[in-house]
Amino acid sequence: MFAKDWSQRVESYWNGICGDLFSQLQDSENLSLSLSGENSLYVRTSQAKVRQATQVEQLFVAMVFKHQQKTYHSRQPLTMNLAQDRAHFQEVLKMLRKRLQELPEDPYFVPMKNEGTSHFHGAHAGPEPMQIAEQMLEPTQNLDFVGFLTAGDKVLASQNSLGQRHWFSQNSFFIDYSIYHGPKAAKDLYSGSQFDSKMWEIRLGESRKHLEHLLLPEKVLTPGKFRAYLSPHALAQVVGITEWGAWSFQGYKDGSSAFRNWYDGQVQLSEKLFVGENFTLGLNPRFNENGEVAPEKLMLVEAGQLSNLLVSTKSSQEFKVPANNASLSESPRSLEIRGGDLDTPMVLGTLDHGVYLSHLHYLNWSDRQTARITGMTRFDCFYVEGGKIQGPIKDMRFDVGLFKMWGPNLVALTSQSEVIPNTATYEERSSGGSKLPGMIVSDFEFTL
Amino acid sequence: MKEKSTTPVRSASADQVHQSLRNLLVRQKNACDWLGLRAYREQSTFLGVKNEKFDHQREQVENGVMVEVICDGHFGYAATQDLSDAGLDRAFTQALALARSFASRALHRFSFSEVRPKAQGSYRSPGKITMDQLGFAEASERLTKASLAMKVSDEVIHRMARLILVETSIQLVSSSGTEVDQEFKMLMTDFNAAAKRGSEVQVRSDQGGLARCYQSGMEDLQLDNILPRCYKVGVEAVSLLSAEDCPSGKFDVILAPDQMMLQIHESIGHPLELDRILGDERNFAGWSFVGLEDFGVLQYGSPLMNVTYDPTQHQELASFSFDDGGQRATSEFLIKEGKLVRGLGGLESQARSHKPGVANFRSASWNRAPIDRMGNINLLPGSSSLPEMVKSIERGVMMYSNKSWSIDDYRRKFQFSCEYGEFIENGKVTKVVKNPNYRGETLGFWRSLAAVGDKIETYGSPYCGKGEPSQIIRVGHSAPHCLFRNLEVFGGGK
Repeated sequence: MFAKDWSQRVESYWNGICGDLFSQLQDSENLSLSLSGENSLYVRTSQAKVRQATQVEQLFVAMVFKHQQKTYHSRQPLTMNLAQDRAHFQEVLKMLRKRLQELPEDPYFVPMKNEGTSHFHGAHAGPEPMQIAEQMLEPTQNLDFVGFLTAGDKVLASQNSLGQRHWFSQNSFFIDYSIYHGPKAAKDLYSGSQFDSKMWEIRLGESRKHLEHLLLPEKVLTPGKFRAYLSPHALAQVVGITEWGAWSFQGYKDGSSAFRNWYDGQVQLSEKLFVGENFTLGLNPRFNENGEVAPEKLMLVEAGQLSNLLVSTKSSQEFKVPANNASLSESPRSLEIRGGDLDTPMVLGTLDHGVYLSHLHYLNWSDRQTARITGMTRFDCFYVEGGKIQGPIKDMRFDVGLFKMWGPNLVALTSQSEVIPNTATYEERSSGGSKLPGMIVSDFEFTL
Repeated sequence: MKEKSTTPVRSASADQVHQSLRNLLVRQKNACDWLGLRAYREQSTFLGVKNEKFDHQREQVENGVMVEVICDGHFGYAATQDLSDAGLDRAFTQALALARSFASRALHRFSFSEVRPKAQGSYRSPGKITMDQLGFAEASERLTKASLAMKVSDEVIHRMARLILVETSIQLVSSSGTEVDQEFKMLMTDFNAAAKRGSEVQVRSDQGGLARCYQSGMEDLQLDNILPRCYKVGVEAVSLLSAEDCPSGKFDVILAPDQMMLQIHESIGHPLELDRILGDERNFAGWSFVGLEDFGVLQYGSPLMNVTYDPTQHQELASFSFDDGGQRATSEFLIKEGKLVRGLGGLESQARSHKPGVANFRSASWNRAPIDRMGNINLLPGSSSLPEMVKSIERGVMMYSNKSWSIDDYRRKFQFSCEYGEFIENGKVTKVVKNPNYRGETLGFWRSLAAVGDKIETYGSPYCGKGEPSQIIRVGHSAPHCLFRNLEVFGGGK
């Protein structure tokens, strides 16, 4: 059921469907087709046993139909059953023509362009998803292992009637897991394109060691300001909240971007801070849902100054600024924060007295206009004294200004960074992710 | 109350799917202990107008079948969009293989007669008019007028008027004789405005982002109702520019129903989900401070607190007749006079926990296995009028419309912020305050409930997230204004 050639079969079928549809277009009609799909095994476990296992094979085609300054967007299922699909898409095309007539003209109409061709096919490195599931569970039997395996093929593609053709496919897995001891847990993520059972056992061993720290007496903190280390995973949570429009040029113009004052130059953040989009990480293709190709690298923050925001072609038309071919949501797709000069083994010593934050939870803006964030500590977070872990902390709520955390309170960035894939699975497996270092900050404020 | 049809609700194409499902049952029912099929079709239409100009249109179609198989007490699931006999057979084979492969490692062995009972019936939500019937041009025109109504001054720099219309059809059939057809039409609207003066930006919306979502059709997009609301959104956005920041300190707080919605959702709904309590969500959404031993014992809040799970409410977003496990939907008390009496768990969680639950075993779509979800969680009205509550406050804040939300993985420590606040001094509202925030701990908060209003308002959310793989589900919440004593309140700032 996990055919090794699934993505190749999809590619061949997809090329045929696109050709069929483009051949049915009439004069001056343009059509862009974007494919998103997966053939995935999802296994959910608790107490090292399987709660639910699901096989999902799904493909969706996002159609953008353009004619006479009007644009119609439709997302349709692709079944890989040729008779069903041909009949369905013929009907959809008729419907697009009819409904397009009813729509108002698009005031920010983006003419279709041929954005060239690209092709990436990540080799299937095995083992098969079912074998990964078996090998994942085998060494966990004496643990309260709570985990989630996702494994299989993911495809993204875009073609348009002007000849543009982009293809991206990869076979990958991730195990997002935690090991519990009572109410406390050590958490980690093992991901890649080739599952290695020996590496998995090493990762589990490291998690077990982390768990030992959690058995030390719990430290209950009094609300106040602490020196803090944010691991790459904790920093990923902070970065995640900025993806809610903070980097968006549209958000800047409509007032919803938390970075508005930063972009206006009213705040200057730490000169240690360099942030950019970096598609060389290979987590995501450079083409977006319209097939528009972003630069391989785009610096957003240089030495603490926010020099670029993400600009879609739609925003470019509306605000008359150059596009950098961001996605329609203008969220980062492959964000990197450049590492600093602190060796990871020196983190505890440099932190000296403070809190070691492995993971954060449920962040949100507590005041978007001043870029203030609230959230919770979660999983393996520790109190550190004299450069040594003293014990786990009782979960605390924090409320911090991001401009302070990334500004005058930024003490150091680790030289080693971690690539953290996007593990979201709402509707479908996500692609993309980030590459982040650890970060030591001062005056990290706990409130509850 | 919900409208039950006495005639079949299926369309012609749904009839074809139904026949395919029945054919699969005939072909494969002897190859496993139990076989269930859930066909799910959904068409969503998104339409938006920004600053009186057409902004976006998108439609989205979902169409597929989830095949559920039980072997040796363990479920296997496989989802397919290929509804041909060959496609369904392939998905069946995959589900069977998963059930067999993991049966020896199953977390719990289920009896299919216990967790997938025979269910027969139908449901049709009350919405009538489709987008095709109203027309894109007319819908866009109405949204344009709504956008214009928010433009009360040049300081209103951004106005968004948008809607989502969703039409969903769910069919369940199973080898135990289940035959369920349910059809839903849902209209969700969102009107919001941003006002700017200098470097200050304030946002106001029509009861919170997409909070107005109901089981209804385009007939509810009526300008008579919408335009006064949009005008108020614009006026209040501008008024926030002149407002003082919400003061910090311990204050009495009245939460309006559009903030009560969020408070109920995060600090009652999620912690009472039985699958969370059983530990299924520990790696993702989190565990719960509530234990199985707390049902029937724990004093969750003040005696004024009465909360139901109610999937029978007319037009509320998560009303239906059966959940995806085939359990008939009924209204049940979760909390009665402040005491915790029942959790939110479908038949599988009830079998695992030996606790009573509700019909809330729901999936986001054809491509996800059902899990315990919230539905309509409602706080019942009390006997206090809003003026009486205001009059009883010496110094306090009334807060409207959720802006930001955060709570820990055990659902204890929360912090929420609202769009709009009114300061109360000596029993009277004296001024508008901006950036009202409050934080607290769940049990202490609900035990500080001092008065419950006598009029309910109903809202909802199309976006409640949970599960691995993750799922978005639609929920409804109704509540009156409620008064809480001595909360920690604060405003915005760096």
